[in-house]
Amino acid sequence: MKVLKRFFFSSLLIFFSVFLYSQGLLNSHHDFTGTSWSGGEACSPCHTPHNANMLVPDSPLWNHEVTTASYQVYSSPTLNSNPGQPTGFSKLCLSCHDGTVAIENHGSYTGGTQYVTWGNVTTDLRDDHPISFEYNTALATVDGGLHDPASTPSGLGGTIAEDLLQSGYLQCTSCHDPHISRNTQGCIGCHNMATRVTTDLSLRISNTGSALCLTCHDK
Amino acid sequence: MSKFLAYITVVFLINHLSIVMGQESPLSHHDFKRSSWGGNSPCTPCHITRSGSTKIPSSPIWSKRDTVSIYQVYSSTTLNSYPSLPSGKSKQCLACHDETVANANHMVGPPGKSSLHISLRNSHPISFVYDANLAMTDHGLNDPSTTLSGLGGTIEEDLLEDGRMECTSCHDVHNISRQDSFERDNLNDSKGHAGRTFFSLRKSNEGSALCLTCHNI
Ligand code: HEC
Ligand code: HEC
Ligand code: HEC
Ligand code: HEC
Ligand code: HEC
Ligand code: HEC
Ligand code: HEC
Ligand code: HEC
Repeated sequence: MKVLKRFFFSSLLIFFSVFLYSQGLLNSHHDFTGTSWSGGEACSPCHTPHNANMLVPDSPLWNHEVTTASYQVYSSPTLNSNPGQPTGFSKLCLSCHDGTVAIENHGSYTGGTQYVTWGNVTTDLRDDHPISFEYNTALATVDGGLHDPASTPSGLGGTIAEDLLQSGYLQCTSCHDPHISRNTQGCIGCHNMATRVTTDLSLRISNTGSALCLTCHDK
Repeated sequence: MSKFLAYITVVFLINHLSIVMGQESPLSHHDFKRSSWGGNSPCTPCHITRSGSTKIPSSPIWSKRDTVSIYQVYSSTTLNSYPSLPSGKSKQCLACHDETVANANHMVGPPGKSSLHISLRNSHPISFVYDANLAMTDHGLNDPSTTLSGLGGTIEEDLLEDGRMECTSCHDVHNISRQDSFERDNLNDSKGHAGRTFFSLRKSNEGSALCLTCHNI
């Protein structure tokens, strides 16, 4: 009986330590530590301490092969901004997510064969939220339906401009955190047994009740 | 008195290392005794014993000038710290590892090892204060004054130099525990992982453990 009890508690401990371990990047879709090509490392698929790739200015010590694709960008008659070819952090994301560069291609390795599947946003960005354009007070004024990024709080501590924009530009990272740091519960934080997936937890701000959208859109 | 004893010990170690340690030097890749230019002691490329001098150095005596190169330091749009020109012991590392250093006396650029020359522009930021304040602004960093490094003390105690991030925050050139770093060249696998635990690191980076000591991501 004592043995059973001990077994019960130790398995409980292991169970919880798995949850603790999975805080942050680990156990997210960007956790490649379980693959052989990553060498078991969590950061090196994307970052390196030396000899980082400088093709995209201001990247955070980038270690992944950078995409060279050209894109069809979003446009619409009501759009006031002018999205150009992807820049900055968006270009880093697209270096896996446009489906043209293999996921494994990092450091000096270029022989990868695996590509994103359901996460492929392709090089046709006409069906995606516009990115890589300046979102400033002037745009908000012209548009009429946008909050002023320089003065509106994001809910994360600072303003929209401080917390969600990259030097004033709207990028993939305005909505997503690549480290998926809000997931504290491992796989089941996003997937549960009944429904396939809630992508909510990789977002910088939860989109429950369209909260993310309404951070910038004043509708 | 204790300072004097320490000085004697260092001088003794530097001059008689082979007696103390036997044949095998613990210096791994920094054992320059193996090279023609390294001299008799594996220590002299970085330390010298000035005869007649009684000064006790607070840092190793460097057998060559500091680098005078003008560096372009790391910058990015998400950085909260303020990396300065190299300070502290990083200057000494860069005396040999700087991409602009020429070969002279002990100013080595190991032949055919250009990757050993570090550019600060695309390297992990160094030479800035890393304190509880920075951790609070950044949101993704552990508090160095309270977080354990895994080496016995806190990050601040074990990895920082006067509260600052330097080359020595990640590297320990004396790294006695990993003599096997000689094996590094054989450990290069086809995926560009040049034997990641063999870079004289303060602690193994297996599973990015070194990165995750400070980064709370
Ligand atoms: C799938 C790719 C990916 C992986 C894996 C990844 N990162 Fe990042 N990281 C990024 C991108 C893209 C950015 C720039 C966008 C941003 O700041 O959110 C970034 C930014 C950063 C920044 C600077 C931004 C800030 O908030 O200060 C740090 C520090 C960082 N990463 C550390 C790490 C560490 C440590 C690991 C490993 C535990 C890691 N990253 C793993 C893609 C990745
Ligand atoms: C190293 C390659 C790589 C990089 C760089 C990368 N991703 Fe991913 N990402 C993946 C893979 C692989 C998946 C899993 C989906 C798949 O295989 O199709 C994924 C999944 C996702 C998901 C869905 C997962 C979830 O939990 O919601 C989002 C959102 C995402 N990535 C956004 C980004 C953003 C934003 C960036 C840039 C800041 C980025 N990714 C950079 C490889 C990458
Ligand atoms: C305006 C906010 C916003 C921007 C900008 C944005 N995303 Fe998303 N993204 C979302 C939301 C919200 C979801 C969740 C959709 C859902 O629940 O089905 C999502 C889902 C995803 C997914 C999961 C796969 C899928 O189709 O559900 C991937 C991968 C992804 N985004 C990548 C990107 C990349 C790469 C960029 C930049 C090119 C980007 N996102 C820009 C808000 C955004
Ligand atoms: C970080 C701020 C931000 C967030 C978050 C955000 N948007 Fe946007 N969105 C913008 C900006 C800025 C524009 C450009 C408006 C323009 O140029 O007229 C835009 C444009 C759009 C457009 C195109 C409008 C047009 O005229 O064609 C749609 C649709 C849209 N957003 C929907 C959404 C939805 C849905 C969400 C939540 C998933 C969302 N946005 C989240 C800032 C944001
Ligand atoms: C590659 C350059 C290098 C070589 C070779 C080297 N050292 Fe050092 N040594 C340093 C640096 C840098 C420091 C200070 C940083 C540190 O504590 O790691 C240091 C610190 C020391 C200290 C401590 C001094 C203090 O202030 O705490 C001693 C003792 C020492 N070295 C002895 C030796 C001996 C003995 C050898 C020969 C076996 C040797 N070193 C070889 C670079 C070197
Ligand atoms: C006297 C010149 C010199 C100084 C000073 C020096 N190094 Fe080195 N270092 C070298 C040489 C030469 C090699 C290459 C040895 C080889 O390839 O066998 C090397 C190799 C390395 C390596 C890779 C090999 C390994 O596994 O250790 C690292 C990491 C390194 N040094 C870090 C440092 C740091 C950090 C400092 C400052 C504390 C420093 N070095 C100071 C000359 C020096
Ligand atoms: C944030 C931690 C960190 C800092 C700070 C750091 N390094 Fe490194 N360094 C590493 C890691 C990790 C590696 C192993 C590289 C890999 O995994 O690809 C490495 C590798 C090296 C190498 C071997 C490179 C090669 O290609 O063989 C040298 C030389 C080196 N570092 C010198 C330095 C010098 C000089 C400084 C200070 C200017 C420094 N490092 C600062 C973490 C760091
Ligand atoms: C001794 C603590 C320490 C270690 C170990 C460490 N870092 Fe850092 N790192 C920092 C600090 C402090 C900063 C500065 C953050 C800032 O100013 O926003 C930083 C900055 C960075 C940045 C740039 C952030 C930006 O906003 O541009 C990246 C990327 C990064 N680290 C990745 C890594 C990776 C990958 C490793 C492992 C090889 C690592 N770090 C190891 C402390 C550390």
